[in-house]
Amino acid sequence: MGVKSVGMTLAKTFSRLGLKVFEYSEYPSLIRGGHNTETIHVSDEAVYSQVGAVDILLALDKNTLDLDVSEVKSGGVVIFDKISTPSLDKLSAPCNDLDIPMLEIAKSLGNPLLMNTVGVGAILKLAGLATETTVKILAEEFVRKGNEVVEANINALRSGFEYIKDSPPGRVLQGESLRSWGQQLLITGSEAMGLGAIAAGLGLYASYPMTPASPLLHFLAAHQDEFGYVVRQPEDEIAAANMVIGAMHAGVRAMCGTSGGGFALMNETLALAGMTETPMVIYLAQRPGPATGLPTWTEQGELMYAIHAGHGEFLRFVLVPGDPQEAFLLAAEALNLAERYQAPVIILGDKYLGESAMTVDGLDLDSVSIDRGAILTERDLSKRKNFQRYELTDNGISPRSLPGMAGGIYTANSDEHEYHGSVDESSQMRVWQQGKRLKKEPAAAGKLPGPKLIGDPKAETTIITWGSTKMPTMQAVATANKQLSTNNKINILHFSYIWPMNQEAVNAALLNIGSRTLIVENNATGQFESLLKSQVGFVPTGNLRKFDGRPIYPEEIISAFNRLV
Amino acid sequence: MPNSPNSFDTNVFPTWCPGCGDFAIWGCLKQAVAKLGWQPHQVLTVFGIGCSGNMASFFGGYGFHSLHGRAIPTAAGAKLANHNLHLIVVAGDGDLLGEGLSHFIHGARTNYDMTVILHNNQIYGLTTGQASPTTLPGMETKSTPAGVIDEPLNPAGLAIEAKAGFVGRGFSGDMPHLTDLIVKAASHQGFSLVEVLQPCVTFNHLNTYEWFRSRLVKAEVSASDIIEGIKMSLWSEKEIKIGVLYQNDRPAFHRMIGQLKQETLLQSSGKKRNINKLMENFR
Repeated sequence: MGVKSVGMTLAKTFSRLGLKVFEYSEYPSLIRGGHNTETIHVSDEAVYSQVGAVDILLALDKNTLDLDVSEVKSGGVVIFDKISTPSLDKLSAPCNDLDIPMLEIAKSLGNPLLMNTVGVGAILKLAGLATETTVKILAEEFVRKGNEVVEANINALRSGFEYIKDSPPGRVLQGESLRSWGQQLLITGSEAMGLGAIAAGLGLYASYPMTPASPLLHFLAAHQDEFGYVVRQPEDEIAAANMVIGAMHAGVRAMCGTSGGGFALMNETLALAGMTETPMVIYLAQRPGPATGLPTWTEQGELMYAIHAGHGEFLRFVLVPGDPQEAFLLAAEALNLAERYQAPVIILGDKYLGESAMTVDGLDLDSVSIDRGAILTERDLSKRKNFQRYELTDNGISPRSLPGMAGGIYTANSDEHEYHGSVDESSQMRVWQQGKRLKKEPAAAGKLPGPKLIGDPKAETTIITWGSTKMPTMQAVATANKQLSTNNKINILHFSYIWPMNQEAVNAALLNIGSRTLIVENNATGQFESLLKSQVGFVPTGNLRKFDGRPIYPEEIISAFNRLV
Repeated sequence: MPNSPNSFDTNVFPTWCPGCGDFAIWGCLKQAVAKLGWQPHQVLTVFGIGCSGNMASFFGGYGFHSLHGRAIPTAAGAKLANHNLHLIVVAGDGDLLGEGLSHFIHGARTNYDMTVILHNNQIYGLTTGQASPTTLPGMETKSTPAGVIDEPLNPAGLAIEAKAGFVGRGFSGDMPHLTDLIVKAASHQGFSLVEVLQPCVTFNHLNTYEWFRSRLVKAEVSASDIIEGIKMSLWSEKEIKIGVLYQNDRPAFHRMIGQLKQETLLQSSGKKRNINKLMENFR
């Protein structure tokens, strides 16, 4: 097993046992090697993100000992293998070191790669858990590789488990007395987004590979036969975006996905969607820029870019999911908004949301409804003598026909155009058509949901989050509120519908928050903070900004809160 | 059943220069689709940006006046969405071979079912006369006052090398031949290219009607071998071949997609799906 599958095997085990889990992985932009880590946060209390302090460190190489041992907390355990890695010398706190000859055990079972599975067995023992659930998971995972591989992994797991005798040092979970949350899903933001798009009737997904958007490409590609939609990897992001335009124009729900560099290539097409009023959905998975930046790391550096991308003035939506459940619902809603307003919609995610797995009770399939917007039928068209695709309307939305329909012929034109789509450069028509298109923005903004207040409405302090910073903030607030007095609690104001901004709803929400406010964002310049200032004149008491490519940790939010107080 | 070429007229009259080859190509295209019996509402033409793309306002049927270079992927998306539509791409040498070259070659190798009419006038006309990817070396243009240094691209040869389903070359000065060629190309299921040699009477004073007439030779038979096809597509000092240059029987891309065997995506998607079974994978 690789480090990623060690993490997922453990996370899945905990999830099936009804525990709450958050799985977070770090890896450099390499196929093999480099320093790869998996962080699993598990508890029988609610879990929303990774945390910084480590109870058990399983070090599979010397790098891990050198780089990560300082994160182990006092009384924690470091599992290592003295034969394959040198001994510990950088412990910053008194820890238990547990030397297990993982490599030798693995070799005796016939494959040195089994070393990782031996480590998983040891962790189960330290967590006070039995091996049955993991045995089942290993069997499911390796069934395709044959019985021999399954058996070898199970043996490795048991060897690691049994190597530690009765009273393991620094045991962290009391296995037998754990509370179970029942059946749940362990899912990443990308997978939940894919499920949302599938549920909402996706027809075409076009995407050129780019980290961290590729997990959505892989997930959707794997399930296309089952659901009948098509996944296409074209020659570049420009082609992907224009294929989406072509498919949406022909009446099929389509989406493309990319990261910042690919989105830059799609900008001209974004404007084409604006001009031709063609629905379009783009998943923009952020990673730290500029340019190639840090390909496998995370950042929220493209909010302003998403809001302003493309030449000319036109409506676009920017939706920012804060966790897998939001990713599921917003993927479906993105397709609805695109078709309802005949406009591009950007789902702004990031590596942290897209590639971290967390347990959720379920995904709210009942809340997914489909709104195809104003698409006429041939019967509707037969009643109209002179169909005008771009007729002027009160809310700016003009009903559309689909190619193939008799009576609905028109031209979607990237040039300014008249009612049927033919080029028209007259000043009057320009003002009419641009005015019509821009009317959609206020019409849409007023109907978008405002931010959500999470927690005690009377709390003294409000932490403002957008997108993926919701997860560590939820974790921080859950931890902090346990220790804070009743008149000094923290709540959260979370934004996921960001553009166009429903100023009325935002203003109303801002009137009812704590007297102390902290904006948390994963970027250097405070893009959301300046957006709030420019849109509604709001200035927070303080902010936490982080741009080292790593997600924000709940401990950092608590420190920022303490500084604020 | 054939219908009238007039059914593909609009109420906008072309704005091209008098004598422009685009008039002839426009006429041939209307005659060809009428001969094929296609109804205007069954046809989606995706236009590039340039003089040829301005046909978007003059040619009937459903139209999409797309971005410079991007007509092929736009058409590909529409074809995958509803493969019952007839897809035509109308664009020029600057559009398809400059910004759009990657889409052009990939479209050919993928073999999307569409007919690409490449108006090759060897110049940028709409932007008033700069060198294009097919301008002959030595020609002085507004952007190359000392003469073009680059060798010209040969779009027919490129498409053949990428194993496009059908590659033909016509001449805007021979309308019956060009009409027949477009009918053949549009009848082919797969990526069909019709490269049209088209004098630009305003900005290209080298490659005139007379220049072409003294060099054009009609191909007797088409090649099915790419080496033979590429040889036929090459221009020599004395001779340029027109006609069907190359053809193969590769199935069109959408025919290779299992999900599109029974219905179009337009018919099969867009409705709410039950994902409960797939959600079980995450337990």
